[in-house]
Amino acid sequence: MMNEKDRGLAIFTWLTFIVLLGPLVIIIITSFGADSYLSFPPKSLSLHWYQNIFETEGFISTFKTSIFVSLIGNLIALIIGIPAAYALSRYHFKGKGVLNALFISPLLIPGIVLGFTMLKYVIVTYHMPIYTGLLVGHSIIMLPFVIRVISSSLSNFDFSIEEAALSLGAGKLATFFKVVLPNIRSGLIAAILLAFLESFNNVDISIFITGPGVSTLPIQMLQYVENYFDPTIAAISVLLMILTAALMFFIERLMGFSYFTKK
Amino acid sequence: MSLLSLNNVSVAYDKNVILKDFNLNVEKGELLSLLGPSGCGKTTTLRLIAGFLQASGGQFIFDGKDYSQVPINKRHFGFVFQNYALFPHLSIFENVAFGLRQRKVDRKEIEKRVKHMLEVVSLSGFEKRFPAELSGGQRQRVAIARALVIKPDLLLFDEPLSNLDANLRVTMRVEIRRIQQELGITTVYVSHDQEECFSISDKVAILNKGVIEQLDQPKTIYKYPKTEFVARFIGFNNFIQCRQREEHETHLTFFTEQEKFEVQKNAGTTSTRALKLAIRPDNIVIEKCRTGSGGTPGHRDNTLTGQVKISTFLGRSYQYEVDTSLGTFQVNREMEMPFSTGDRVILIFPKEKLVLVD
Amino acid sequence: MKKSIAYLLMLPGLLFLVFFMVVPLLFTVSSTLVQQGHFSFDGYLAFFKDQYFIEILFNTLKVSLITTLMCIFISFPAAYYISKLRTRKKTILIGLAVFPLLTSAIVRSFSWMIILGKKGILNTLLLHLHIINEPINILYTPTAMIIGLVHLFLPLMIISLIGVMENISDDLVQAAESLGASRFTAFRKIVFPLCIPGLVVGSILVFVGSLTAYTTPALLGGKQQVISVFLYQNAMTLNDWYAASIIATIMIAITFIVIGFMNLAARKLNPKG
Ligand SMILES: Nc1ncnc2c1ncn2[C@@H]1O[C@H](COP(=O)(O)OP(=O)(O)OP(=O)(O)O)[C@@H](O)[C@H]1O
Ligand SMILES: [Mg+2]
Repeated sequence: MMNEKDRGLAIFTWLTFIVLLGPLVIIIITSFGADSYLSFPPKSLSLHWYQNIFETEGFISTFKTSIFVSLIGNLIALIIGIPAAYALSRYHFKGKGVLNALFISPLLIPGIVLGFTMLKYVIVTYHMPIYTGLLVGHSIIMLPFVIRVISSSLSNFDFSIEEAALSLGAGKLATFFKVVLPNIRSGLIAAILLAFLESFNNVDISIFITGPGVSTLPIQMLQYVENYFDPTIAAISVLLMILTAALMFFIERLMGFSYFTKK
Repeated sequence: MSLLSLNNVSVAYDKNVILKDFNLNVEKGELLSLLGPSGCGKTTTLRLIAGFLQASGGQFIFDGKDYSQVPINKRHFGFVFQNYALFPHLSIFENVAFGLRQRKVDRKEIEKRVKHMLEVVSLSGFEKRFPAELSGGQRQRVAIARALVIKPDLLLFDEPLSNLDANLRVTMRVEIRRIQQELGITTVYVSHDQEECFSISDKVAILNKGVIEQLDQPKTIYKYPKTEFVARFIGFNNFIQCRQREEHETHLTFFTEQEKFEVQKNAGTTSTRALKLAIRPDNIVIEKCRTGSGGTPGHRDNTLTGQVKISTFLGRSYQYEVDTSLGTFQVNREMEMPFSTGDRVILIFPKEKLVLVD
Repeated sequence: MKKSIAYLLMLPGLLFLVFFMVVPLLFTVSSTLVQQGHFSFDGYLAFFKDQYFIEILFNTLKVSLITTLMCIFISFPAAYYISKLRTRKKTILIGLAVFPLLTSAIVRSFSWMIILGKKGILNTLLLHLHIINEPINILYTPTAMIIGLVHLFLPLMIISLIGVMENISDDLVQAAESLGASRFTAFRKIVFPLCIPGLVVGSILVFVGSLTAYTTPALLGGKQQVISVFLYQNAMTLNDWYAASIIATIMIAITFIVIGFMNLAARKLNPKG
């Protein structure tokens, strides 16, 4: 039943969303401008700035680094995160609360602090190469995503089904791979996608762990913005938004957006 | 004049019309039940009265005044929700006191009235608890207390007992009736449990697809359903469609193609020109057919011959489905020597047990 | 036996975190308490005596507080509206709120550089409408930073609130209204108290997020310093790792104090949440 007050609410909500999404629309429009400075609305249109991305070596190499770090880091987070998530949701043991908090803590500790301590100890004291350091740092921030999403999938998955598999003679590992994993598949993929985006967009850690020739795309973008004010960044932003939208489409398919509101 | 009148009101969700030209009158002090199958519009009617829904047409008169534009919070009606809708963050005391606080009743008075109301629903001593710490029946009583404490002009119940177990349901319905009569509050009560409705109501309205098929005292409905729907709903599972009728002094005579049925005149036969007869499975008498050859069909009035198609053991009785020239009839019979499938039988329809339906 | 399996399963993750996160953090904290081989609190004393640092700390807290409050005020009506929808519109609106959340903070801050800059859209528009005669400076001010942060964290607050509001049944509001409460009273006395858990979670996320955000203040804040930018500069520009470590420790401490405080407040406000 719609009445006056609800209509007021509706208008307010749509205004909020205009403010939320309008700036992103503006980026899209400016990315097609032909001028070498940011203007809105653009006087003429061109794809020049998209071309510029691919002709700027810095963007291509850092994009490759970002992809590599996010993917391999994701893999590391999964390899160490899945067993931990399984233990945390299937067993009762001493210190569970503390361990749970520890695994989630990379979300709570300020990113900039994590980045700094990683630089200070992991890179400088442990003498880890920059590339490896990036991988470690990104794995750490992806870990909470993997553990949270997979734990919640696991707790929705009836333990007695596992017991049934065990009673039918499947070993523990076989049960996990043949019974548990296929059933938490959508949660698993959503975890991978969310963690990927978190890592791919990360600034706080990557900004400390850069070296000669090694850096991630967001850091390269930051440096570019500090020096130039042309629509190249707008063009990259559009490509990133397309990537985000595509991954979101899969997340919606897998878990529904209600996943975000039910935590 | 009725306390509450809905005249030709209509309600629709989007394009889905639920109530169309709906009429209902509730008299002061009575408890009227709305009874009907799931989805027939009981809740919708109740929510319309409460003001949660707006009618798209018609008149809503309460106590002689047009109420259709009166906002919910000015109606002064008590509503007891199916799921109780207790405020989870407020104590039992505060839940019950909520309506009084809105009315700026002074503190001492609130204290007194809430205490008294909790006594009425036998929940003294539970003031400091929270809804999560009560059992289903206790929550339900809090919901009643919360609605009653404001001394509403009208009390509305939406299947208040449907979440309770069978025993508690019986206890609580007696309780509800007692409180309602004690306080003399006009009440509209929704349920789809027949026994519940018949046992506590002054009047019952049977609803079908947004239309009231019959509104009467429980006894009248139980004995003399007016329409086929009502008859079916309360367990008249057998119908006989006739072609003609004749009126006599003490009885009516109905004719099918070949058969003839006499029906004794009663409260249900006076005002209708209907040609359909109905009877409960318990009221048909079933006997063994004596003719071995099956030559002459039973030609006494009010009888049919047939053959047992299905015989089901129900515990106390047997239920038979009997094929006859007028279709299949359902018969319940308590007996030691049951019929078996294939047996030829005579069905006797006592003339005082047949009712007339539209 | 069963329990040892649990520990075994967690061991790789545990070692990883301890080795690469916990130990570095502990070393960072302990390094701030030792000077010339002795335990000393002097580093902190010097910091808290430094007017410049105090100003930065105060500014950061102020910006975070304003951001959080604005997010609350804007999110409440929007979340309430969305939570009451039952159709596809709801999925779409939630999706539209999640999208910015998953979009790079650089992209989102950059959009405000286009809008708020001296030759930006806002100035062009205002000049055009003759509301102003001279372009105004918004970019690189605290205002720009707050706008950027509100934009950054608004979806988080909206989504946290939708989460709790979805679980508040319409019946509760109608029950309140049928007992004589106006719509506003019903909201104030029923809906709002039941939203507190989501509000607290959202506020923690937004407040701590703004407190520790780097990208947005770095891009939009200009010379206006906040604590995370200050840490970065000490570490990378000034190469003063001792100072940076102290700032890092202070940031951790503030984060945990804020979380603890808000949880406490939540328990006070809502004894039966
Ligand atoms: N909010 C709504 N939007 C659309 N249709 C609705 C809505 N609420 C109810 N309906 C429809 O209106 C019809 C009547 O519903 P109502 O709730 O009044 O039934 P009811 O008699 O109370 O049934 P029950 O015994 O199952 O509670 C149903 O067909 C239902 O599907
Ligand atoms: Mg109903």
